[in-house]
Amino acid sequence: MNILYYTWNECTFKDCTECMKALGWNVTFISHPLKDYDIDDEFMCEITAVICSSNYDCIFSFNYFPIISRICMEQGLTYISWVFDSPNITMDSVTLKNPCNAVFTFDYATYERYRNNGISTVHYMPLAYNHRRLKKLVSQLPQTYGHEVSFLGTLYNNEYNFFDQISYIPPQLKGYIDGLINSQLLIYGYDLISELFNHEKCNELARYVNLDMGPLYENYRDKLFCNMIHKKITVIERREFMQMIGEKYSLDLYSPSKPDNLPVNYCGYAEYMNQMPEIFYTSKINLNITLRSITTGIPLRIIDILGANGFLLTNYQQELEEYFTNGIDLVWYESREDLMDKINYYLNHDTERIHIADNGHKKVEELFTYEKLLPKIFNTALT
Amino acid sequence: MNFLFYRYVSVCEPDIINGFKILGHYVKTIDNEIMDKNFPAQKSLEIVSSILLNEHFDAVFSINYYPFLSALCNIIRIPYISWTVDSPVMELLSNTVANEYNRIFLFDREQYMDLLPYNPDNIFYLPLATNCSRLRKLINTTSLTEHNRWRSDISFVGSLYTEKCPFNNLTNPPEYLSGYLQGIMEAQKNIYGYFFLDELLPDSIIKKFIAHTPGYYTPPELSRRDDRKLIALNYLGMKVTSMEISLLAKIWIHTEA
Repeated sequence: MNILYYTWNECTFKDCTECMKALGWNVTFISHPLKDYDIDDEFMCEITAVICSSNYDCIFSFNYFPIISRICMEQGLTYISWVFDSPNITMDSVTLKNPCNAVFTFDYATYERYRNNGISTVHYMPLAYNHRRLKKLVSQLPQTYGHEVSFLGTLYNNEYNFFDQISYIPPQLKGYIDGLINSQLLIYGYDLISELFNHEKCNELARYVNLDMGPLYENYRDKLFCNMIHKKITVIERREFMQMIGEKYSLDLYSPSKPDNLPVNYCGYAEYMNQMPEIFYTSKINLNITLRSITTGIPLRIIDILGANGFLLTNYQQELEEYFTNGIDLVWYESREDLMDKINYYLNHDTERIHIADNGHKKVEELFTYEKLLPKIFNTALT
Repeated sequence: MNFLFYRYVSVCEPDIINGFKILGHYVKTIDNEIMDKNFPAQKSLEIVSSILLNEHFDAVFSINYYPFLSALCNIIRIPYISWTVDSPVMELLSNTVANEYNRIFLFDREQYMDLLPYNPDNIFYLPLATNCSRLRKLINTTSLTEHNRWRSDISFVGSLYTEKCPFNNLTNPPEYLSGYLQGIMEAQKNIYGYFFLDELLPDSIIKKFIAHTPGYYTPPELSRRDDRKLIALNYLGMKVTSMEISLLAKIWIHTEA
C-alpha cells in the first residue's frame, strides 16, 4: 500500500501514521499550507506534482478537504478521509459526491443523514487509538493518583459560540429556541434540536442570520443552524457541570482558555501525545461531556481515555451501547443527579472503578485500535 | 367490614363496589353527586355525617379525593380510603391530605412521590384494577351484530382534550412566553417515559403565564399552592396530550369521556 498522507498537524497524525507503517504500508507526507479549502492553485500544483512523482494508491487525510477531492478527481486517485469532527462543515461541499471519495465518519447519525440524501461516498467508522504507544507510555507512569475528577475539553467561552453573536432574534422565535435548549439539556441520546428546529423554523431564523457559504456548498443551512444551537447547549451544559461538580469535589480542568468564576482548578491546556494520557491514567474519574452536535457517535476523547486505561464517566451516547456495557466497561450518566451520584459512588469505590477502567481498556484494545480499523477503511475504499 | 362508598360519576365505581361485595364486605353508597353534579358540598357534608353518626362503618371510600370526607373521618376517627384514577387531582393540594385517618392510594408513582412527604404513613402507591370476569362475560354474551357495530382495526377510546383543555384560556401571551411554551411542549411531545415540563418553568414564565390566563385555577383556602406542578400538569401536559391526539385524527375514534 502506497499512501500519500495529507497532514494539517491534527492530533492523530503521529499515531495513525505509526500504525500505517506497522501494517507495512508506505506513507509519504504532505503538509503544504492550505489557503482555502476549495480553491488554491498553488496547493493544487504542489500536490499534483507529488502525485505524479510516484505511484500512490490514494490520498488520506483526517477530516474532509474539498480541494483534495478535486485533485483526486483530476488525477484519477482515491481520496480517503476519516472524519473525527461533527460537524465537519466541509462535508457539505458539492464535491462530497465525487466518486473518487471514500469519507468515513464516526457518527452514525451523520452517516445515515448523507446516505438518506443519496450520497454513497460516505461510510461509517468509529475512531481509533495507538494501543502500542499508549501501553508503553502508561506502563512508565506512577501508580498513584494525581487528580480526583478531571475534565479535558473546551468550554467554548470564546468566539466559537456563534449563537450568542446573533444580534437579533424575534421574541417568539427566541422563546421557542430557549424552550428547546432547556428541554434538550435534560435529555441524552435523542437529538431534539434537529427534530424540532425544522426547515420552517430555519427559514424563520434565516431572516435574521445570514449564512452564505457560496455555490460550492449545498444543503448546509439547516444543519449549521442546528449546530449553532447544539454548541450553545454544550456551552451551558459544560459550564453548569463544572460549577456543580467543582462546588463538591476537586475538579481539574484542562482547557485552552481560563474560564471566569468557576470553582475548578484550572490547569491550562493539555498536550495530546504525552500529557493527556498521563492525566487520564492518574485521574480517579475522567469526565466526558460530548459536544451535542455529535448525536450518536463515540467521540475521540472517549477512545483516548479508555486507551490510556482511565476510568470514564460520560454522558449517554447511543453508540456506546453497541460496544460497551454500562457499569462494566465504563459508566454513563443520564441526568445531573445521576452524574453527581455516580461521582460520589466511584470516588468511594476504588476496586470497582479500577476494574471498570481495565475492562474498558480491554474493549478498546479489542475493537478500536488503528491496526484493526485502518485495514477496514482501506479495504472498503479501495475495493 | 362495612364501607360507606361516596360516589360521583366515575365509570370504575360499579366494578369496585362489586369487588368489595365479592370479598364479603357490606357497601352502602351515597349517590348525590351522580344525580346532580352541582350538589352543594355543605349538603353532602350533612348527609354523610348524619349517616356516619347513625350507622357503624369501618371506613369511608371514594374514588379520587374529597377534602370534606377526610376532615369528617378525622373527626369521627374512622379511616377514609381514597383511590385516585386521575392525575392531576386538584383536591390533593388540600392540607387535609396530612390527616391521620387518611389512607390515600395513588395509581401514579410520580403523583405518589410528590405527595408522600405530606403524610408518609398513610399514602400508598397502587396501580388501577379491572373486573376481568364481568368483561369476559360481557364479551361472551354479546351478539355478533353488536360486536360488528364496534369493530375496528385500531381504536382509541378517550378524551381528545380539545374542548376542555384549560391551556386554551391563555390569552394574548407575550411573544417570548408563547414561543417558549411551544418549544417545551413540542419537546415533551417527542419524549415518552419522562415528564419534564415542570422542570422547565422558571418563576418568570410562571408569573407571566398566570397573568395571561383568565380564570387560572386558584386553590381553595387551606391548600398547598404549587403553580409549577399545576401549570405543567393541568395546562401544558393536557395541551401536549391534545396535540398528540390530534395526530390520531385519521383513526376512527369513539369518544365519550
